[in-house]
Amino acid sequence: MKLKKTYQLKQIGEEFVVMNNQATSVDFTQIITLNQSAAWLWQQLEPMESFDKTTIVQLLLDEYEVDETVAQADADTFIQHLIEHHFID
Amino acid sequence: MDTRTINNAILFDEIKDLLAKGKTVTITTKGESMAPFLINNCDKVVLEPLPSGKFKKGMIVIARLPNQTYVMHRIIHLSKTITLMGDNNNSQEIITPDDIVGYISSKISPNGEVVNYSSLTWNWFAFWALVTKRNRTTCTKMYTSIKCFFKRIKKRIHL
Repeated sequence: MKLKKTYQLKQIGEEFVVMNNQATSVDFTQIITLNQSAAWLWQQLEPMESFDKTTIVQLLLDEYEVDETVAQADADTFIQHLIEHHFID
Repeated sequence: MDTRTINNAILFDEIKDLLAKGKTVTITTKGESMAPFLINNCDKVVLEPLPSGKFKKGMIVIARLPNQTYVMHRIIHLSKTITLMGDNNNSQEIITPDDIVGYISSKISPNGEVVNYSSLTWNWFAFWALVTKRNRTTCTKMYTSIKCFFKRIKKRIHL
């Protein structure tokens, strides 16, 4: 899978938001915000042509002091959110 | 649903960029200065870019003030400069056309009711704002008293 190029992560103040570059209207009342670790993951995955769950788990293990079970669960949650919001191809 | 608040100046800088790209932006209103037309934290407004020279009295615009803050107030006077005033305010802001970032093309109430710019409801509020601009406090008190009077009568009829 890979992140759709139409979506871009932007930092507005202290918030990380995902915005659709091609949308003609932006609804700030419905906008998707990411927490810091999710935003960091997004930034790592954005330039990648392809990634899978193993890629995310490895990124989390390298960056954060978590065991593999936690990293696997976090990766599942993250991927679930990407699918739910149609952020991936 | 998780609600986040972003600093006014930072959010409006972003909105200014989006409007400059020709996009429309929807936000929830903050503050009491445009009451009763816009209700704090309840009503949503749709913002659109406003080409220079298209300004009209009664429009509600987003403008950047010299102190770098933004206001969403109604145009009450047009000359070489533009005078803005919140419907619930006594003070006015004098700006130039370059300070205007965009205008409100419609407001959406929590029940989904949409009031478009130039509609009858819009024009009624604009008319009220323009008529009462010189003595807002007295007029607002009169309006509230009349409204209360009719509410009391309505209550008595129902009793």
